[in-house]
Amino acid sequence: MDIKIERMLVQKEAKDYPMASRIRERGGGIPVVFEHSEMGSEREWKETLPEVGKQTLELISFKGEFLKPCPGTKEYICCGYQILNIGTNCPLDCSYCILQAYFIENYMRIFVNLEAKLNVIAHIIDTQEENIFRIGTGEFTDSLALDPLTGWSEVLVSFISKRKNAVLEFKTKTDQIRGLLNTPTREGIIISWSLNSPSIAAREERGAPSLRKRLEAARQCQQEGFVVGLHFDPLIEHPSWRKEYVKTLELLDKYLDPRRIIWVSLGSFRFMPSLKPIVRKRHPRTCIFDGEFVIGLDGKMRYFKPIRMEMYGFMREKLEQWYKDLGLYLCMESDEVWKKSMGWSPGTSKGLSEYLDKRVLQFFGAPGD
Amino acid sequence: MFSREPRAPIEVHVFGLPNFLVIEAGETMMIRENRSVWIDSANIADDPGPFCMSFAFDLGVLADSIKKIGLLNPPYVIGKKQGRGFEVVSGYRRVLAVKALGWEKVLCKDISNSVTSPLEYLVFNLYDNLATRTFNDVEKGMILCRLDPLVPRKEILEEYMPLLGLPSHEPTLEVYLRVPDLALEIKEAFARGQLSFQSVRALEDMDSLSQSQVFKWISELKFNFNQQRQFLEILVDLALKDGISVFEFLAKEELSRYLEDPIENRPQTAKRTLQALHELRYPRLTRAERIFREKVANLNLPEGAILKAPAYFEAPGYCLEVRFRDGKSLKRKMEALLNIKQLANLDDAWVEKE
Repeated sequence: MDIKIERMLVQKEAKDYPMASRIRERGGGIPVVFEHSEMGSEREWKETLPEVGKQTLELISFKGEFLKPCPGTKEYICCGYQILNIGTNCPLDCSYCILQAYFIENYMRIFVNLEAKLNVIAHIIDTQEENIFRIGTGEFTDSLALDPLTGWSEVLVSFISKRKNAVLEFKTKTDQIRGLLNTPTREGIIISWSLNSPSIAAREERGAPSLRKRLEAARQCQQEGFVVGLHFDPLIEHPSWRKEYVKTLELLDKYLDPRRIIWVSLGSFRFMPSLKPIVRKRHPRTCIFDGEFVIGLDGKMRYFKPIRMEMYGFMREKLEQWYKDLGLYLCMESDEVWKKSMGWSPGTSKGLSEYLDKRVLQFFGAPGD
Repeated sequence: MFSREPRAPIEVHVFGLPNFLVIEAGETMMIRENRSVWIDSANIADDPGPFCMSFAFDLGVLADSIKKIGLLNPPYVIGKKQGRGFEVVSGYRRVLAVKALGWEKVLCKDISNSVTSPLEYLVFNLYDNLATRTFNDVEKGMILCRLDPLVPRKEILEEYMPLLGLPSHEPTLEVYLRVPDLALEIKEAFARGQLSFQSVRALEDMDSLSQSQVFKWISELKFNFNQQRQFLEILVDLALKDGISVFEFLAKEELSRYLEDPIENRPQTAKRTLQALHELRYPRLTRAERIFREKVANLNLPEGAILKAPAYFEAPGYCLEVRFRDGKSLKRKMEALLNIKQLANLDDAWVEKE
């Protein structure tokens, strides 16, 4: 996978952080076209750069909270994940990406003061020994797409391996695993791949490596002793979707050892209504809106409930035929949908958190072991 | 020539001749030279030209007024740069009115030597109109379109859009900039308030054949704004899914019969059309709704009892509403409900029993 970054914008307050220097050094020939102050930020450089896009990388000192719980909604069962904010947007251009509606501009931002804030994050984790922190960096960006530049894996693997009650999940659609493979420890690290059917991957995940390449990377990680996770999210109803998803499941069997998979999540495509016109404009040939969407209890558009249950039920059946103990779970679904498609339900978000925490203990052992 | 004089006193002539024109707070654009001349009406252009911004107006009232009390405010004109005759800078409707009245000559103010840039002519007319009337949506589109090549986008968004009562929102500007390119009948409907902004935005994204066909449906079935939104949203989704144009989709026999061979009155046909589209777009939801209705009907609930499903069946469970006059009637209805054996079989709405 080639990362095509044509220019860099650097916030003045950010330029002296080690990560900023590293990115500029590793970026080699990427020109820094603008240095701006924190206060001026977008307004300042937009005067001279009206058009920015995915080929633009901005390095900033992030003033918000780095570690935050996944917002979830009370209407659906949430997994109780903690989001580690390391940047926003990514070089891939998936048609269904919710970030298109979250952020007006699609240029990428890297929070280069991450290392300086690790002590704050460590304090939060270390002072709550009774809790298991399942942390992920893949909520607002791809966890590994920019790793060759940023060195996130070097920084974060070392940080997490020192924590007794935390695991870190790198969620990606890429094959950028070199940085991770070079780290000395596997403790508390999960590398997860976002997967879809071959036709959706080819048609809707622009810029992402093929499923085969992703799974080759996953196999290599397993062989190197890493625990792997899988995410079928978003599941998309498209022509012959059953056959299409089975093709991916057949690839899983070919490439991966199911015993070293900590969890597999399933989530059907859902979106804020404001996303639709944006996607229609940016990806006019998309098929992601072809299904029957209704307004969910959280105001997002979701597939009509029986369709979701049918998709989850199908995936569950096929995945369990492959291996019984995959740590299957649903992302943002109701108790009713859980029961009718998975045959059981964690009942509440707390219940799902406990279920996933148990998976962590099963794979990494209890704290202090 | 125009000159900009910072902090000059603001002077607005509503009924008299506007020798001073307010451009922005604290700044006045002043016409130094405005020669009154009699011009052959035939020598004044019939079209609005590059500066005027009038669309879909009723000339009758103005013509009557001029006929009774004469032309109080002379139109402002400039000599055409190419060819002979004059271009109207301000007072286009008055020119059309006097032409309609058959006047051979019109007293005009010739400001050919006063103003240098097209932007200043445009702003002159804009403020002149703003003082006396509101613009319809097509006129707003005309104004923004004319400003677009002359003024930076940022200035249009921050200064001119609020002036026209529009939000400083780039996507909104994009919609208005495309309005002048729409077909005349569509523009007229938009100007008259018969088409919503959302509908116009959707129409702009279609090819011209689809635009005109959709407009035909909307105007013949007299969809209200909410119906227009539903109609367009479903239509676009279905056409994209089938990989055909909206025009081709509307030509399908299963739909076209609603328009070509209506068996009911217009509101009923409109409702039936939307229902048919809804069924095509949401086949499983529609089927579930039908099954639920049938299941409830088969229960023979006592009078005043209504069984309701949550919106789109998304939330779990159902809701039973019982209307009753007094305690005795409630008791009777409760007993009747308890005696309905099929109630025990009430399950998911979308599950069709063999």
